[in-house]
Amino acid sequence: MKIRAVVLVALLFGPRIGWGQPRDDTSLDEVLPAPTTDAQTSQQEGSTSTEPVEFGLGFGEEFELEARDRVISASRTVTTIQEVPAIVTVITAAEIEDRGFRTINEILQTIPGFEGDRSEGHDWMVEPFARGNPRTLLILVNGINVVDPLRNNLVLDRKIPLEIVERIEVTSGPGGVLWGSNALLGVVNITTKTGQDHSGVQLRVGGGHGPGEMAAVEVNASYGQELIEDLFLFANLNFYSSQGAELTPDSQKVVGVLPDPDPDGISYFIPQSVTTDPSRDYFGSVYLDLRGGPFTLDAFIQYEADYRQQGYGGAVLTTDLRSESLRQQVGAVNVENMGLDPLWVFSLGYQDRYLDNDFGLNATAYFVRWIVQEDPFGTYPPSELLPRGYFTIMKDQGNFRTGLNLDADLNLPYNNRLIFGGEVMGDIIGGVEQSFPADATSPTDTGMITDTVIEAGNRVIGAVYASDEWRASERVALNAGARLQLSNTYDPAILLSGAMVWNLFRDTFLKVNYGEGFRPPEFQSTNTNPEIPSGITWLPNPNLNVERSRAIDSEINTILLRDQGIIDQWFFRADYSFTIMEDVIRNIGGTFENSGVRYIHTVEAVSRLRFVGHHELSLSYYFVNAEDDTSGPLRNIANHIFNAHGRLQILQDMLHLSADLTWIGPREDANRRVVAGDDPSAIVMVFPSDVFIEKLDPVWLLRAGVRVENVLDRFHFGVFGYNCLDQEYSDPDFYFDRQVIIRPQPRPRWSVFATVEAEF
Amino acid sequence: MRTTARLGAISLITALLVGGCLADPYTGSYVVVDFLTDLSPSAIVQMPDGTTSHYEMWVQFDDQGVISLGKFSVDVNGHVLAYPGMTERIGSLTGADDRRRSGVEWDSPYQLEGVTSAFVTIETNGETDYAPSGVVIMEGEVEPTEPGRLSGQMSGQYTTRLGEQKNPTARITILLAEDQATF
Repeated sequence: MKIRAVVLVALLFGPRIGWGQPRDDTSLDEVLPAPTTDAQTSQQEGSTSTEPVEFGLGFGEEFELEARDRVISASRTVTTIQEVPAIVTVITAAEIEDRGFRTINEILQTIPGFEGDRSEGHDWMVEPFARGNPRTLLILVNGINVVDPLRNNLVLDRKIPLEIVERIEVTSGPGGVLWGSNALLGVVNITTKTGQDHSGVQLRVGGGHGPGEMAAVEVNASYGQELIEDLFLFANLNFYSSQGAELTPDSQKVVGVLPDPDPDGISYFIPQSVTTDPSRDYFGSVYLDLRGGPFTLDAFIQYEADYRQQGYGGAVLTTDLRSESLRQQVGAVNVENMGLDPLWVFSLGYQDRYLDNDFGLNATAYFVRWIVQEDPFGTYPPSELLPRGYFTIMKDQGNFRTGLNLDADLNLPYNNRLIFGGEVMGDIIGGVEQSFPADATSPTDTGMITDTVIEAGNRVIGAVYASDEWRASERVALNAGARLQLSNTYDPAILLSGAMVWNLFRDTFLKVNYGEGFRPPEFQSTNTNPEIPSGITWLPNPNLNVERSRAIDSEINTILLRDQGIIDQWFFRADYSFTIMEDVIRNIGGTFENSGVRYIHTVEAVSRLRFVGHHELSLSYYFVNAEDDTSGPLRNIANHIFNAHGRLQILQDMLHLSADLTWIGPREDANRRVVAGDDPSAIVMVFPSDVFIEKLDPVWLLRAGVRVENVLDRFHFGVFGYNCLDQEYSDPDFYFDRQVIIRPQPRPRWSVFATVEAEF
Repeated sequence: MRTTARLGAISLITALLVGGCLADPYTGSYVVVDFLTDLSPSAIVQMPDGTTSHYEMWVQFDDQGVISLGKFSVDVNGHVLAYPGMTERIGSLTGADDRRRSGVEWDSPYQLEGVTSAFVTIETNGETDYAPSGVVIMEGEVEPTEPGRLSGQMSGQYTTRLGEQKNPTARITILLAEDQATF
């Protein structure tokens, strides 16, 4: 559905915002027609059409703005990719389908500034890196912070099914002034689908197989409808199950030290590889969106049971560790780890505009729940050292966040537009308990001991912010913002931002922006029980301050060609950023401390060539160099990542091919060599001084597929292959330290997945 | 022509930016030592003149000088603590407790590529000079074992305040900083 996007801009920002991209250097102010209704606006804003949006400028000349060129989260108002004072990439629902993405991690893998889909703890956690650092991203679901405060992370596997995603806006760089906590090095804002944009029933079933994802099945059902006048419902049910990936570690850990920051020690390995064969994983979710007038009610309830045969530290479990009496006591029988890691998000929103659209108000009250339970958590298979093996069980008592966001925008005289607001948020940590056999070496059961590893805690946060955009001239906009963040657990934080966007000439923009971000200490570094019988020896530090980031970004972007022969549009952008992380939290001598400064240089470049007939070729490059002033360069990251994406439309709206090729440069990992003796099945001892820097070769990852659409006007088919080149590769640890994972972590090999969709 | 000019300008900017990123190499090193046997608690180790003492870890560059990696003490539990202060735990002796911990870590700001040997001395408590005391309790050669890595073993002997003769042994590995930005 084509729309007049000028209406969108006029409604949401009034006539002063942005200069658009009028031809012949004509100011957009001069050509804007009168606004239309709010309802139209919201429908347009949420459009899922794959058709480009037309901006009619009243001169008989038009330029097209696709949904993926519109940006909301970087400035909390709608503007374009080219003009927004930040480095932003938008992925729409249509693109997610087109390119066969399965997870948000896979999406981030293709975006400069990020290294998505990194594994930690042998696939227990799969998360993205931003500018070379893990857990530095703010993940938003419809503007709500869903980063778990216990560990400052959110595993981006199938937790959030992409079938409910309307669009994802990814900002590279700090975004603390507008978004507050966790927007340290980037923001991922996930916008979900609504009944205003999707009507009718959509059913989707899929299945696939391969050593990278075995025996996978998916069932998804969506329903969208205008129930009564101006009351819209969107509902989604998603179920996914697979046996996960066959992983082949090159050796089997038998007993080893606890993860860093516990003191280092000797580990024992059987230097033989083994291929895992885990049980079936289950992911299920329910999503509801109900909106009428200015009100929106959202609910996302998810369940997952994720089985892993390889322990967090690398032990491979092949036998049941528990005797019958322990089974009765513990109440479960596992020969592998079962991770229970669900996410719940509920929100109630109010959004409206007043004063002839000069004032907009958006209020959202929300509740988020995380829980992490690992059974078993620590795993040591039976061996001559521990004849009965050893295990621990970790139970998170649940972590909760409830809060209220209040955001407003106001058009002011002299071409100023003020965005301001505040938030009140409370984090509640239920604590983490760990259970373990009382005597691991006893030939008989000695019962289980349970102790508190992380104590319950809470944190109250309040913040106010304001950001003003001043359009100094027809071609230059200046932006300045500030935020005051208060909490009962850390010192007040003041964050600043500033930006200049200069429309050099038609379709070419120069941006320079300064941003700050912060990350509150994770609760596991402030609330660890200092007297833990189960043996964790690191001490908490309740006086930790927030980690800070500051970045200067510069970008030049342009439409190099438009409507030239077979070329529809050629977009290019190049960015350089210099980022400083301060007060980085690390463990020093067993206690967490704010220490050290990290200097990060990044370069991003994107060339997107769109041809007539909906063919497309995109190339992107990402360079990162991060150096810590106390531990040197971060060598566990790829300094260079290239991405290429191609889309070939064979039959208009019927058949297209798609491929994404990612080249991840060499990475390094501080590991320990496991050297077999005369008997390859005998346990060998590995000392800390066996450490060496393991060089991990570059990786070529190819995802390719075909989609057949609109068969009989209601059926769609898709088949995609993942890791099609069957690269057998491993990931380094999240952190460039010497202890956590002693061997590289194998990643999934190839797999295929096919889907059939029907719309009614 | 205009497009070509734009492309050229953008390419130049990008090249300059990338080039600027490749400077600033880090030259520090990481050292880990496993004290395998017979490193006694500091409380029962003394200087030849009977004064109380602590340990100090050194590396030597052929005949060109020595660098101290750090002073440390050992408590009765086998925990290795940074000296002075003795609150920062930098590792443990092998077999120090039921988890057979080992590994003592130092981050050095120096490039230790030219190190040829390593040794441990005992030093008088309170001294602040930058020279080894000469009371060497173990030493050994260090040599490159692979690019970016040196390793070796140390051994020696000393007598405790209690009159026991000890034969300490240890393994040392030095990881050198390298510029990773290679294709």
